[in-house]
Amino acid sequence: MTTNISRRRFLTLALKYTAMGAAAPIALNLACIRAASAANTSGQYKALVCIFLYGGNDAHNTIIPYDLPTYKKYADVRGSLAVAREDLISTVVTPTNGWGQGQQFALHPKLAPLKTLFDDGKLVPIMRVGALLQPTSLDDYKNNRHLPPKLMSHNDQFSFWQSMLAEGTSSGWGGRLGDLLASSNLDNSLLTNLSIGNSAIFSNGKISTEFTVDPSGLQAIKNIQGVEGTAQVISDNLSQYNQHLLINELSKRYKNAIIGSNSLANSPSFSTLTPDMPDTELGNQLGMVAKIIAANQDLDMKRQIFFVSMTGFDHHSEMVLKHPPLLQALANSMSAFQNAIDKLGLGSQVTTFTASDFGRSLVPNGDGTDHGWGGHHFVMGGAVKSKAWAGALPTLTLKGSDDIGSGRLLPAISVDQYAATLASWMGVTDSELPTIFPNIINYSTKNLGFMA
Amino acid sequence: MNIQLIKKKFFALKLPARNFCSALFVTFVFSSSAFAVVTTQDEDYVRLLNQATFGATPYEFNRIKTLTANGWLNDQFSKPFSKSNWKIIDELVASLDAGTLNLGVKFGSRIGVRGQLIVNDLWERYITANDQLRQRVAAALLETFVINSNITMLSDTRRLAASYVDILERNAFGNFRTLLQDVSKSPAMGYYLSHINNKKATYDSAGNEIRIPDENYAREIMQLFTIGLYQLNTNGTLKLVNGKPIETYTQDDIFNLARVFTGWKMDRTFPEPDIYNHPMVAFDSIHSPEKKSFLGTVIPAGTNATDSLKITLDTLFNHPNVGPFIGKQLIQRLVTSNPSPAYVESVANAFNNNGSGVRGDMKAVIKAILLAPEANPNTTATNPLKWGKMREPMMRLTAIARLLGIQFSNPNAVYPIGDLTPLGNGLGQTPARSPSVFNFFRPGYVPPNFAGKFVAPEFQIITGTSLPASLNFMNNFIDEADQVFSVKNKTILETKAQNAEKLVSFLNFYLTSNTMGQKNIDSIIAQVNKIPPSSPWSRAKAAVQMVAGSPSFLTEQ
Repeated sequence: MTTNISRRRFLTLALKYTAMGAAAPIALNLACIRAASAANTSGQYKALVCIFLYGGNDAHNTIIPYDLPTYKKYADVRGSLAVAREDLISTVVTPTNGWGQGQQFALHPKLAPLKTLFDDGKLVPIMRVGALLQPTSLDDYKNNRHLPPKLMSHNDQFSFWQSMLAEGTSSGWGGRLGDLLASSNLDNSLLTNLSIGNSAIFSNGKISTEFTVDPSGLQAIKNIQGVEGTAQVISDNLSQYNQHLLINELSKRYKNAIIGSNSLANSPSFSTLTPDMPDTELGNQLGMVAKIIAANQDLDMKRQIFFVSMTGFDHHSEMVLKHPPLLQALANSMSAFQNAIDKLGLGSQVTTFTASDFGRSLVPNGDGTDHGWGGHHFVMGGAVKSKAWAGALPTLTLKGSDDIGSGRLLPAISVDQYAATLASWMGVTDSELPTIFPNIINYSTKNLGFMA
Repeated sequence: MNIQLIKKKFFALKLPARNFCSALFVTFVFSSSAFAVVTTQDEDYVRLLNQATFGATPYEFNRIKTLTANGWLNDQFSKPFSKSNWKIIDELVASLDAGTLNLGVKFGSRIGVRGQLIVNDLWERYITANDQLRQRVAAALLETFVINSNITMLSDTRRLAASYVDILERNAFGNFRTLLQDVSKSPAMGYYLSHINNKKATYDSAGNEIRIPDENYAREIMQLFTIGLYQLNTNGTLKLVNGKPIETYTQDDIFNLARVFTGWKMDRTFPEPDIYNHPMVAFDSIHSPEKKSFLGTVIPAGTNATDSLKITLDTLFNHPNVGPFIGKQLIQRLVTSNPSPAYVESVANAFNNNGSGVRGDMKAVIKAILLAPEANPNTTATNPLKWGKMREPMMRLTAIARLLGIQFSNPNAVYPIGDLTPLGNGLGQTPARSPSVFNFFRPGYVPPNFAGKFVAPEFQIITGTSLPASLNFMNNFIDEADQVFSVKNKTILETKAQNAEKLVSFLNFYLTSNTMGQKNIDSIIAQVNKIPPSSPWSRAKAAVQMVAGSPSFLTEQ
């Protein structure tokens, strides 16, 4: 049964149902409501994967100047925290059109697998991206004009990166993207937005709700002491309608989990795939993502948005000791994931991107660095523009045009522009972008052009 | 009189569950609000125990009946300290070094040696300590003044963690100003938020910074430990100017405050490992000589580290935000996620003045929280359908463990409960293992599509898919409890198990403060009766397992 209902009416219905609480259907039966979203979801399956680096990844040691004059500027300020230039030889990345201004950049040596991906045309560096409300100059910053709330505060900034709002918001942009795309997923719209491991605001939309999967897999309640019927009783008791706010929420979460879990468990592709991934925090999460992506045909999915994360990037101290292993784990897991997706024949249909609370200061505090603002990130997948980069180069000059203090970077491009480019690739039209990114209207460039 | 009755137990005065409790005193509320809950004095006592300890037990229930609520709290305030975490970890390390300590755990995963000992120790403490209220408050403080047991890459991180938890216990019934000082000067916090060995700024000849002080602790002491992000009224609501909240501090305040937290190092007048158990000491040679100006306070240039710290902590301690900011979070940890402004105000008032002119008296705050009318859903002026909180996953285990009365004594093994964070074999939460300084969950977390302006912090780590995994873990724990521990209350439970109604009634009382619905109760009784009375322990376990999976146990309402 399909009924053409305008998207506006669909959203109204959805909000009405959720406002009714437990009396509402557990999952909106989107098979019966084909919302007239303008999003283009015809053609192939596509998935977006966000890798969030919690703590504020030090961008200055992630993508590092290699040409002598710029390297010298970097090393003079960074002192003992600088990566040695001779260690950067094999990770120099050369875009087709160069970096401009005679400059060269290299990846941190531990990111060597990403260099391989770049050379294969499957990786794009994004430079000086950060939280903005609108294009912002250094003068704007110094005069506190139209700045995002609570800059340099972890929880507010990772919330902003995920939702374009400070902590306390109720929807993230991944979820709002899912709101526009969920109807293309027919019976399994509950599996549109998935977080693997920890929950994140990114994955919650105004209608689409986050479906969390633990990297260890899905479980069903087992019968206790082998007594038939006991699991059912526990399950039934958890599924009952109850007027209490918390019990109702518990019940709702449980019931949605059963529906989604059953769908996945019944997919042969999900069950049989065992991707070859490193046994790390991120490797395990991305392995689960690969399994779910493998199920896309079994589940008749068209669009999925995944959220995975790594912790530990807040390097106020011991940075030289602690940062490289994290970068190594990041690169190894990203590379293994791309391999696994390529093996599924979906290499150009999955786009993975990194994100973080903020970049960090160029000036050290001793053996670490402090909270910054703009940072550098990566987009990976077969659909990216080959050997390109986006954004703007850092000057690496203290008191330069991009320095808000201590070498913390003024962003040149906003998270909105970064994310909108990805949303467009997922099929969202220009006119729909503001429903996901209200501030995108402040930018003349809504698509940074790094997707092929 | 129009009372809209929302809880089934009111209808069923003949509930078997209620027959268990001789109703000495029944509370009827004919309130002007549309809702009312009827509870007995016994239920009020067991609920208070579930708020003030890690799980109500028959022993504590008898104590509180004898002493009454206020008397029981006073008795808890005067309980001797449990053996210090420092001593316990010290002894464990000695056995480890001697090769006589088995680090294996029976439940959950082993963590690396560095972080593990304090985790085993805390599980044992929460489950078995006599000074339950002190431990419960210290646990709430650990979720506010957060550290993770893996503080540094050093092997002595376990000693740092032990020393830190002792600080929280020492100050749980003390004064907040002392707590703030002890935390700020602890090497554990010095390492965790990296202000230990923090040095003053250095400049080149042109006046450019070559190195700036680490700002980590300066930010978090304001944002998380004292005043929060926005100016608050005493009742916890936001102060508004033109409809907008007012920030408490700016980046400039942080920049200046970072100078205060320079010059602190380990006290090397003590030998290792004792240095980890002593406050940091000031080295003015690396302390910032610059002026430090923040939150309207000016510390003149040239002020030494010790004086700078004192002025700073006094400034923060005396900020009007502290009472509501900290008070509301303690209410959320112990009683309810959404206290009314009046409730927050009463607690903040107690913080501001304990009645004898003293600010920051933790005992006054604790009493204000636990003895408030609103600590009890039946006398609340707010809607009981919104009252209460999600039970933290780790507290599910402590409550069950305490009711079973598990005991363990093997000098050659650590307490056999380890890291329960991974859901493949756990609950999604472990003491002292918060993933960041922001705790396992945020105080302001709003579940998506939640009705109204209500928060439910613990839901941030209780997802739909985590439920089966964590319930399977708990079932396994209950199944194997008597093989790993001695179960003190086994006989009581087996006796009750002869009659399924009595058994479930007993569990309903202690584990859920008598809030299970009749349908749930009946369904569990029916399953228990499938197991023959000749297997009383199986019956008992089955009942515990099913109550452990019931919404009334997973929530605290």
